[in-house]
Amino acid sequence: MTSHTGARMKMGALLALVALVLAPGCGGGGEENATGGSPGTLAAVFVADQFSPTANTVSMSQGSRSGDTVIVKINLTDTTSVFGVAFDVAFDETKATYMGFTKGSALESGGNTPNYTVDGSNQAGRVIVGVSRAGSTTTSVSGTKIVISLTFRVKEVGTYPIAFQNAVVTDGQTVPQPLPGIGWYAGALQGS
Amino acid sequence: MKIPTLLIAAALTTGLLSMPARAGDINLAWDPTPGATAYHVYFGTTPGVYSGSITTSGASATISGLQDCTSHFVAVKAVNGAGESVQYSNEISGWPRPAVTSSGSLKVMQGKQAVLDVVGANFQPGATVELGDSHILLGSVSVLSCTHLQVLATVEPTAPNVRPAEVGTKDVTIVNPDYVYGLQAQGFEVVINPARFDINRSDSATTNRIDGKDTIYLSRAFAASEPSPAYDPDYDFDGNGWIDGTDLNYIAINLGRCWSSSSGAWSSSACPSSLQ
Repeated sequence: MTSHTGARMKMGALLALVALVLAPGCGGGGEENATGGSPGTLAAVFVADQFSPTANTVSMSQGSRSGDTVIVKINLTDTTSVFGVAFDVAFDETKATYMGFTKGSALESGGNTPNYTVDGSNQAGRVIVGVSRAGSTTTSVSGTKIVISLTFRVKEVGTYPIAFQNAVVTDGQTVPQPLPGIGWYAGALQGS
Repeated sequence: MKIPTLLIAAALTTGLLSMPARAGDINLAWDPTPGATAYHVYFGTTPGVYSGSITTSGASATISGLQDCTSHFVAVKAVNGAGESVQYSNEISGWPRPAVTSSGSLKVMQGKQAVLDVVGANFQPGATVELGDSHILLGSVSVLSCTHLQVLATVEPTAPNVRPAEVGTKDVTIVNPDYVYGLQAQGFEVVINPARFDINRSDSATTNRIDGKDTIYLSRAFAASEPSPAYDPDYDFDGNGWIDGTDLNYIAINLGRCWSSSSGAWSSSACPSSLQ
């Protein structure tokens, strides 16, 4: 479990968060690049369901890959009045392992430093993600920008779908409300 | 020689406030007498009849070893090379300082009530209890005897939109009607109520489950502190008056877990199979 925040907080809380970020063995949390894949013959890729995302969509796409490890980018395309994005990514834990995450840029406009709260350890086969802007302002995403990137290691040859669940993009009301009409597109991990 | 005038019966002065409470003690102070080189402090359990005395060079004294739960009467004479002043000062009376020997080290969860059972000495009728947190509501104190009192403690929040009591230990202080007090350090503890972590209640599909939506809700009020209008007490889990990274961590550490009412905790196994 890892939580990042850039908003103002008391030093005690900040230190606690730093400790969490640095803590080893914390269930795959933390930022990580798709490097250092296990030596061997297995090659991992990600095949997206939607290669040309349209407005008001959240879609997965392949980032960099190395050996049996691949980065899956979670993208937001042409969406206005965005405060936060939350979702689960469900996958077959017998076929793949969640390794960590990298912060994106979709919610960082205006110098904002969003909170990234991610856990991949409490439930096998499930990464739970909450990304939200600090403060009360929303942002409008123009084009396609990365919300967050998740790194997976594929264990076996084959095609293994991963899916969004409990997904929402919210506005910035005092009690944030879901933005209507958001499309969600996932894909599949492949090992060959 | 001028007769010393006592200032306070069983007085508490600033310098004595941090002293550990001890049964059998009476502290007192008086106006210094010009020319006095010492003072004789007389005490007894009958007005005007003094069975003991101590000598002190300053204008204050602590009488120790007194019988608890008993009124003691004290007067002072000034002393110099010519001897002792003929007359006593005015007489004061009081019980020894209240002392807490046990408050049960009570742990109470936010939103709950419990009876605080305090055992000690020198509790007078009309004594009050203080825990140093205005968000712990205390009922009327029942002084069952001079060594035992009870009070009902209600730890906020007992309803939504109520500022919670701050998590952590509190000193239990007993204050007698004469304002003499005694305390037990860290004799009461407020425990966080984990059921409060699921702040997204508008989505029935994930009620009783902590997920990314809860983090968005909390982030919307992030860094707000009381009395800011943005401060939402329902998001201030630890009750420190801030919605901050500590509160976010309570959500983060339980991401993906569901509420088990039987165990009163968040766990993955409590989630429906569709969310496991």
